Amino acid sequence: MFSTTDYGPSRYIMVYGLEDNIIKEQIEIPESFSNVARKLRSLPNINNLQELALEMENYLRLSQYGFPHFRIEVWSTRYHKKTLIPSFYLLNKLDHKLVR
Amino acid sequence: MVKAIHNYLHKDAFEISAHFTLVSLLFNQVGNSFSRPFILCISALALLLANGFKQRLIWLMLTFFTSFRVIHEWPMADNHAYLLALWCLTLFIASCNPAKARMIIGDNGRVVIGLVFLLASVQKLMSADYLDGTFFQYLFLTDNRFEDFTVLFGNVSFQQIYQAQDLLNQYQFSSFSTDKNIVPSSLEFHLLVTISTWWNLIDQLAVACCFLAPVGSYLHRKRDFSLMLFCITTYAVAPVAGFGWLLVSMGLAQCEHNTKIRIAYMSLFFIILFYYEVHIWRILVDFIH
Repeated sequence: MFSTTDYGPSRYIMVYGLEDNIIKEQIEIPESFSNVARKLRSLPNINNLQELALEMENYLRLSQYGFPHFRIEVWSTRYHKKTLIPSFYLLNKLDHKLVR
Repeated sequence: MVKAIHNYLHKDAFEISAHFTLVSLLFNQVGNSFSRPFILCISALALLLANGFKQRLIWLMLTFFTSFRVIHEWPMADNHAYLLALWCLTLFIASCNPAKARMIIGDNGRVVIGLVFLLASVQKLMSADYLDGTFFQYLFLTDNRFEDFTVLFGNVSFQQIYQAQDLLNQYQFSSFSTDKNIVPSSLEFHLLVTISTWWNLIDQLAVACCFLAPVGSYLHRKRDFSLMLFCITTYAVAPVAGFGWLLVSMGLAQCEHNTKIRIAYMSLFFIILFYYEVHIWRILVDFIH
């Protein structure tokens, strides 16, 4: 029952292309991975990160993606109690090598 | 008609609770695209067949399909789905033991309602952003289902709500900054947030205490009243009728064999239906503006 702002829609998944451990660009998560992304937002553990990473790997390999690594991050939102201005906190992340 | 209602009120608690559970499954249309058609067909069949509600196969299948939904969408945040699967399992176990059915659903109904409300209260007490009012401020400004209620009692306009939503969207993962207020500076809005926060917690704690109190105690005797008060106040605002109907079905399972209490629970079922179908806050907002 209603008790917190920290639930699925207030959590964000960010995927970045990496080169030499430096973020090069943001990668959009395809709509077809919405179920895996929903699971990851609800439970951002290493298993769910790896599940999305494998899906993303297949997708990026097919689309001839240029960078050798990518990073998946899951963020939660906290709202200021008086102003509601949001701030973001990293819940978990995974760096994944793109096997070609 | 009056005689038929009178006869129905004196039926066994298992039959009445099973009927109301089946009707709420039909009204609420739970599940995903795989499980929903099966849940609807089985529920309709159970109501159409004579003594269909007594068939253990009916409750076994309903337990399977309501559990399937939880497992298929794991990890599911919708707490109603877990409770529904658990209640279908309880009715299945009761249908396997007709001689003890009333006791099984009565004891389980009472304890499970108590635990659900206790855990909901503990979750609120432990939450990082509930007691300070952040949760209800956010809910009233971002959830469109509550905007009529917020406009009516919070002395804020629809424009202020949409502006707050726009500002919150602009803040998402950006360096956006503004001196505009996200939260409307309305005394009534802050009062609404404070009352909602504390009423919601105290009301749920009261239900938990009454349902988990020792049998025969003062609190135990007030349990039906506390649950009805929760449903009447909560479902007037929160449009989650399915959970309300499930609580009514469970309430009917555990209440004393008392005609007045049964009439009150059954009336509550239709009051929740009324809340769900007739958007009273929308009508009032339109009337006032």
